[in-house]
Amino acid sequence: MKQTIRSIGTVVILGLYLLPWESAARPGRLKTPPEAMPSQEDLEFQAMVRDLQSPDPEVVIFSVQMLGLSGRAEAVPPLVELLRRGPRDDITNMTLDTLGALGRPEAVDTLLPYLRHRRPDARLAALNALSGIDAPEITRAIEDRLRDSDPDVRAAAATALGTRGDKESVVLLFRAFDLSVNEAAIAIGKRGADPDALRLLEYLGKINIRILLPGLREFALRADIDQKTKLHILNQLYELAGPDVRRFAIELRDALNPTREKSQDDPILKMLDRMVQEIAGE
Amino acid sequence: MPIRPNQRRDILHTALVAVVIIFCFGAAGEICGPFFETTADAFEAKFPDNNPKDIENVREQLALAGTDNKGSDSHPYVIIAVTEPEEAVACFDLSAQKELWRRKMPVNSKLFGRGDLAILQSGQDVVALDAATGRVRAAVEIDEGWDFYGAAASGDVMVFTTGIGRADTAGYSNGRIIAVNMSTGRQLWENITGNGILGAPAAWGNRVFVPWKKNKISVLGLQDGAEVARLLTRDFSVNFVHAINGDVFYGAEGTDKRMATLFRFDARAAAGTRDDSGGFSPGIPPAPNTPGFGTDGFRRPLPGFTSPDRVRFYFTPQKSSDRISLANNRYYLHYWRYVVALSAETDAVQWTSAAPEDLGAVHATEHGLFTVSTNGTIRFLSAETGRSLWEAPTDCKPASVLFHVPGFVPARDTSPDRPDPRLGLRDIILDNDNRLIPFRAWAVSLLGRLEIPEVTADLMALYADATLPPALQTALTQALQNRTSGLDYMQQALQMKYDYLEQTKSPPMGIIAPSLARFNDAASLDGLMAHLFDHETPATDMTPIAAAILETGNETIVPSLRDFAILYHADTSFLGHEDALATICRAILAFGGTDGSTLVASLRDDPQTLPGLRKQLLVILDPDAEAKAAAKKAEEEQAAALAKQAELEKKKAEAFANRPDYLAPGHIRVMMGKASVLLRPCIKDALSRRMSLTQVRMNFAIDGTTGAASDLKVIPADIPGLEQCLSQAMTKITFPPFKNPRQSASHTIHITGVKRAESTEE
Repeated sequence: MKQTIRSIGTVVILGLYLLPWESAARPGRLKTPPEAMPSQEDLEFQAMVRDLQSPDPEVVIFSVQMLGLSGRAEAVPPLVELLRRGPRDDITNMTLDTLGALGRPEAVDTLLPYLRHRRPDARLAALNALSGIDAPEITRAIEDRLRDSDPDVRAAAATALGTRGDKESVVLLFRAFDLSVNEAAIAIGKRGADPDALRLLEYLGKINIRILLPGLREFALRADIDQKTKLHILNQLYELAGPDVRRFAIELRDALNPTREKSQDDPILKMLDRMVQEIAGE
Repeated sequence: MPIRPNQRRDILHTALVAVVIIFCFGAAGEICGPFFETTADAFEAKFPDNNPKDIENVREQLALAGTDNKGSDSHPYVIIAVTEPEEAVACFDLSAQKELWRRKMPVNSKLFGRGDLAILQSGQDVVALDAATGRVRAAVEIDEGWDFYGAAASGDVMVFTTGIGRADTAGYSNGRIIAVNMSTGRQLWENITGNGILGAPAAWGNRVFVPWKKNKISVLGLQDGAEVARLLTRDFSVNFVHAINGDVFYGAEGTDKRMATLFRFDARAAAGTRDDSGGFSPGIPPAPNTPGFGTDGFRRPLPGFTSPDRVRFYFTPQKSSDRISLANNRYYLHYWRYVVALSAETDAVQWTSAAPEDLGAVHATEHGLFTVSTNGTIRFLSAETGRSLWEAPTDCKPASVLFHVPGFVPARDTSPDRPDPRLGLRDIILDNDNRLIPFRAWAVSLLGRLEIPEVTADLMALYADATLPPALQTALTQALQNRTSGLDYMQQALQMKYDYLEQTKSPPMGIIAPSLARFNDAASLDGLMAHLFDHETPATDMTPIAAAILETGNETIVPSLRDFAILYHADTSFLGHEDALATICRAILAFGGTDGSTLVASLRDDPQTLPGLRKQLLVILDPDAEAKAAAKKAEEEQAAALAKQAELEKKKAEAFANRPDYLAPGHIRVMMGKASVLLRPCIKDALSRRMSLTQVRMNFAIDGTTGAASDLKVIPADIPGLEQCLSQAMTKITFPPFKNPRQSASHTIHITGVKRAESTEE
């Protein structure tokens, strides 16, 4: 056993001895191969990372922007490190925006606490940054922002849930909609199921139709919503009529059949045609 | 004997003059009648105020009269004046619960009176109605232009006051009091103040008490109207006088800062001041609408219930020799549809009662309260519990109510349950009637005074109700600040959290945190930390939270505190609230050891740190830093001053070195030549006095340091004013300085016709 250890030790020591000798043996030759040399882009990137330490806030902001433009995943750790130093407002917001633009999941742990920052603009920046990152814990965190005291944050949360929310989100979105978070209508339209469409339709006549129509439009555009539900929505709107409904019908028809190639036997399109023809315009 | 034409003319003339004189007296009597009708001495300026002997005499008279002002009718009834649908006065027998009589008549005032009598203004008359039958016992016309203010009666005599002008204005005002014998219908006497309104009077025995000009009460004889005593109040306004069961009470108006005070007309009243007159004043926060203990006697008693009629204190006096004593040791506040019973000893709320409708009138007795609501329902509330024990509907919408309920107890409270004033006050606070917001806020302050721990929970729960108006939120905050019990509930309140979807709000951490710190409650640390990190916590609450964390914290929270301090040390969300961050830094120093000190030092040195925070960190890390900086600054300033002084000295020395020993004659001549403009008027004047003058020689001294000329001698010296004029002119000339202290100089002005030459010698 002792013999074995001694042999390994000898090999290691010899190796350590030979390594520098090998590299220093031929003066004048390239020590690293060209492909391993840092490119101009790398050098610039490293300079930007160094500039994050600058005492000049303008230099820091510029560097943050440039790191964002680089689009490189390696930009995330230095930006996270910058946030950990607690910079002033504009640098914080810019860094949050940049991390959002980079869209890297490794930034999530850093971004999530900023959803509870004391400044609403910081919360908004964190929310926007997170809404573009695909990570499971984010949806629940965004739902929580429907509870925020700031109306802009609530609106942004509702909008974000329109793209990433689930069944649970729809329940909260309805509650938010009841409390005047109008952006929730579109999110419900995007994420809700057939019963949710009918529930949203119940608001007809109770709130301003201009708030409601974008949500109903989302339901009508979706392929996974039953045609009966869509027809029910259109029938209800037809009953209500008015210039807003007519404009809605025109836009929906154009969206569903932009080239006018679809069969006019499609009951939805037929209904929309009828709405456009029979409802008086402005 | 035949009458000559001259005599006839004289007779006619005399007769005419007599007619004119008689007419003038008649007209004057018509115009100034009231002034001539004063039938007794009263309201004289010379009458002594606050004479203890006079007041004692009045007290003796009251004692002789006993406790019953009439004593004949012990039947319980309520007389109600109605204005809708038609004007009438009706009487309800309470024991039989039926209408005794109803008399259609104009109703132009509230009702006044006593057991057997109801007095009111009806049309232009003051009418006294017999309470048992509704029969008119007396009617007296009110002179045109005079307003009715109130009435009272004792025995067969009715007195009433009328006035011109208003009590609260500085313009002309006059008051009048008239006494009428109701048996004979004859006016007994009449007095006029000549200045100042008389309020509603009170009468007992053979004395009439009438408030005058809001700061006096005149006591008059019932039969002759002569003034027998006068009370002058020196530091408060009297707004009513009431005679109850042989005692006379009067009241001081309340203010926004101080509650109304009830006084008794006794020996102590002679002091005339609020503090020394032995009054009773509730020791509770001033109630809204400044309720008084009586109806304002200087306000015209128009029929109907306005705000002052619906906000008033009520009491039942008990006979006492030396002080005001209230039955059941209790007084009541009527506020619209509510009645709140308070202890006269502790001012604690004993019960609250809410009627379904607003109350128009309340009458307190030893056993309870009779109330009449605006829809005419008469109720009896238990004095002990405030429970409604009995009610009787009437078919009239009352405009004024007069109670006569001697000893009448329609029902007794047999329930063993005692009301919980805490619940009663909570109901008032939660009343959604926005007319009552000030009263509801006042109820919050009363609730906060109850030393029951659960009240803290009530206040917290109410605070959490986001639907309560801001005025109530403010009152709740103040009430919570003053709580000294209920720590458990404060800990529970830490669980409260702002949530837009749940419509809940943050707890009042600005109030809770100091209490938790005061109790040094370590169990609350997690809750405090949670609220520190909760962005929904208002910025104003952050410093109290941080202070509580510093008080109750330990080393386990240091990592979180570090994160917090780093995150926000340069963040504008703490601009103006840097104290909170500084306190957090103190906590890091207290619990964080060397690492904590290093971190705080790094925050101090970070150029991005909020300036207000950096300033505090400098002091926190080096308490002497400020003193040191000040000392250093003073040292630097002193050194700079010394350097400046040295520089000046140096410059002075250099300037001195460059000076000549003496001024050369040429130099002096040049200076005098420049100053010739100043000298010329003196020479001209001298020439006007002596045409032959050819030259003027001036001998003078020059100071080497200041360059000032002095000791001027002029030749010729006999021209009046010349030397003085030139001396004056020379004071305006400054010669250049020279090394020697002084030198003599002379200067000659030659005058040759229009040509003039000057020469100077040293």
